[in-house]
Amino acid sequence: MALLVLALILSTLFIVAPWKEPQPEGAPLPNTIKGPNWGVDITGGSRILLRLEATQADIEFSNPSENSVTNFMERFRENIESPVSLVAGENAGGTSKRITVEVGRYVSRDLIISLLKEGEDIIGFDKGVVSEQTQDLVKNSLKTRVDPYGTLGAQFKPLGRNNQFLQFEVSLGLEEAKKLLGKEGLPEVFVDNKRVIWSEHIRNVVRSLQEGEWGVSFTLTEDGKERFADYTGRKPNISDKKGHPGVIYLDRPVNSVIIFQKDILEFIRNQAANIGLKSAGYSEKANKFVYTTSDRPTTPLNEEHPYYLQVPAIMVEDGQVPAAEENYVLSLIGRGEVNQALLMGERDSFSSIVRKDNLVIDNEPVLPVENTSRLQNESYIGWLNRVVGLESWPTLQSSITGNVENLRRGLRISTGGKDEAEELRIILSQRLPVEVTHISETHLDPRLSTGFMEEAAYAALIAFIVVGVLVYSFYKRFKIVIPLLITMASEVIITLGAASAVPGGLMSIGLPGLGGLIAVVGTGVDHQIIITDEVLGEKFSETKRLPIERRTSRAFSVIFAAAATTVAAMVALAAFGFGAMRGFALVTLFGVLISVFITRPAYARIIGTLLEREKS
Amino acid sequence: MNISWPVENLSKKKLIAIPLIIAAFFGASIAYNFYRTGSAVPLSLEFSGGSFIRIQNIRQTEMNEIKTAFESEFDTPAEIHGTENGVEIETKADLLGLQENKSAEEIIETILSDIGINREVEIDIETMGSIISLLYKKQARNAAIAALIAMAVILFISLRHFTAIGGILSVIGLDFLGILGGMALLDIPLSLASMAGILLIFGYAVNTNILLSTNILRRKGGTSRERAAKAMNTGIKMSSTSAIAMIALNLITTSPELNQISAILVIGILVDMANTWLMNSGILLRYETRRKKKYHARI
Repeated sequence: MALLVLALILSTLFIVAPWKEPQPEGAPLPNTIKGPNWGVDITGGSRILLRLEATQADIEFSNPSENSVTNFMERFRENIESPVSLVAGENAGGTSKRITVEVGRYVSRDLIISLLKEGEDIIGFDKGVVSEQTQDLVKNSLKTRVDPYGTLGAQFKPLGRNNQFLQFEVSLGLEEAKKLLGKEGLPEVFVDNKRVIWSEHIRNVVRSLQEGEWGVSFTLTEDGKERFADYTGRKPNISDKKGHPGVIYLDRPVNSVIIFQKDILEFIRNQAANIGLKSAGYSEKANKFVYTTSDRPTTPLNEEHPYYLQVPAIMVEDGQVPAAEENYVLSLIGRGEVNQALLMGERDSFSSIVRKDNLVIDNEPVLPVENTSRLQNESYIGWLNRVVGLESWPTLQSSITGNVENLRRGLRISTGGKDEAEELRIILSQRLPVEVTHISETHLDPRLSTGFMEEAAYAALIAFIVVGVLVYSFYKRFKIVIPLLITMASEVIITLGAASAVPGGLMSIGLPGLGGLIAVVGTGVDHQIIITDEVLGEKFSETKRLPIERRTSRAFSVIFAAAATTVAAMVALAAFGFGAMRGFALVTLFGVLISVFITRPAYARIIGTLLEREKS
Repeated sequence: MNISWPVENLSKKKLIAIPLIIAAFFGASIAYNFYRTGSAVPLSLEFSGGSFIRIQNIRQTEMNEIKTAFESEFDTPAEIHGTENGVEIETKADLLGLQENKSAEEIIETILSDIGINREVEIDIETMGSIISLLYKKQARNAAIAALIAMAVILFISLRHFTAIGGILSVIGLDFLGILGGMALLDIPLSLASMAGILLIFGYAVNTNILLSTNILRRKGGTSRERAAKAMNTGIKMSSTSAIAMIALNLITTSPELNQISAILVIGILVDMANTWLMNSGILLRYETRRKKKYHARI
């Protein structure tokens, strides 16, 4: 019993989740209920199925020398214009060696044969097979590209054998999702507000561990080295930039100006610490957002390093753009520096300055605007970072600032953790290892959400009442009907709570999940009835003799067997099924386990006690 | 009203026969559907492949023209429905696969302007390439088989009684047939959501049948028929509450997925009632009587 109450309290907590961010407009439930991680089919979004195109070939070297494999790989890389990677290699008895290579696009067997030399034989050929490492790499790359902070609920689910297919779901419109997926990814590194190096200067990015700290090492082109050295301290009027952050952008929206509503500034200021910044704010003088990095152990003098976010920004107060800012925008347009505006804030607040998707100054449309919406579960500062394309700001080591010589061995950015290093590596080496095609695109309609939840709640209420009436007609006792209904309600709450407790990245509650919830409640009622009948059943002299506990345990043997079967089926479903099925299976699984171990025993106890009191 | 009348009074042969006749009826409707459309039950977009297009700002009068235009352009039948502000078109054409120089939207815009519709329209497209419908089908099949095997294993462990397990599995089989028949008759498409409903019914069937078997085989008081009747009493109560809840859900919700799941659950529950309390009762009662005869004979 106590367990039941505890579970109820915990679940309500998880469902209401007061610690979460307020949800943006269009969310299914009123803002007091923030817990459940709704799947994309409820909140609306896109689902795209991707096919990874690669070809694998097994090559045997009859008398390999030290460098045979290396030469082979180099030859292949030069002639095939796609990435080639070594998937496996082994010594195959005697002096021969076998390797498996993977080419990042579909190629013909003949092409591979044409590149082989004496002593090299092709012994296996598979078009369409993708290695697990490659699929993982693609998954991580795309995820970092699309949802770096994990707040958009972007999910990549592998589908099918041979690691060929990836199902991608995200709560963005289809066009936006496609854009994000398709982008090449242009990385840029700014030091002290100066654009120092970008993608064409970066080469050979690898993850490395040095002195206990993970980081990313990469080499720069000659040009890149000169630039980097110049701007980190070599040029006479530039101070040594050691300890400064090297600010990395990915797909920074050049030619755009941000127009934001004043209210969001407060949120952004407060959330600075959440992402490791000392402070975040906005400079009206510079018309840019400002971040200041916090003290890091590697900065000996505890210095503060502020930097601007390199996209101009204008603050709107009470729906109006201040006159000075208007002139600024016009001058930016005049110089040809911007050709679109990105809006950040509630749509309605811009109504007096935006007409027909254009920014209006002095009654004239001057700039096309694009509304950037903050997504469910996204923080305000995360939103800002996403809009400007800000990826990370690792600290520059003193060994590399201002000195070309040291750059010969390459640059290293220390990130501390292994995962951050991997992410950074992906950002800097933006090319995907395989060709990716879209096989299907589905727009999941957000209008499902408006009124949907109301409908569901209404249906649930009616179902409750109807079931209550029916059960009363069976047993004619309120003492039974009331506990039954309470148990049903608790099951719903606890299952929903448990499902909400699972972090959004792992599982989201979509329509199938709701189906699972229905399933749980449906079987719940059945089991309650089994218990009731068994406890009440006094038809046979044999049962009359049995004490209440024995009766309930007999009921439970039936229930356990049935529940075990459902559990087994759900586990099989979760293992073999794909995306949609998995959500359903997991919710049902939670529900069944919870109900069998918590709610039904509680119900049995309640009924047992009530009836015992009746007897005596 | 005595719900358990059939179990108490009908001969065992009749008990087994009635559900089988019903099943035959369902089987016939499935076969008919297969003959008519090429697949046993209507398939949803996920399993058949094709595209689903929503166009806003279209007048009802233009619907027929659009349908003809689509059909001739893609050389495959198209279905068109009117909505509040526009139309919805379902076609087997894989628009995504056709995109080469033009995007799917542009292809549609061309079709529309060819028949004289030049105003601004809003187009929403969903495509399900034939590749993944194949993939989905395969995975759906694998998942279903895995779930069934898992269930059979658990049943075996908990019951260890061949006749009982045989009875349960036959009921599940007939339930499945009944559901498919219902889907064929009522035009409910097979989709991922409806598959979930079907699996739920399997679990449900296990519930009711374990109740029945435990009561007939393991309990001791009264005759076997009386025990079966008691189980049926409980069982019918269970089924009716679940069925009513599902009907309520079905009537209120407008979401197609929830409609499908609830419809299938209702059909499944009703079919299961007949199969469990009639057929399985008959089977188990027959077994029980034979067992007793053998037992008494030995004495």
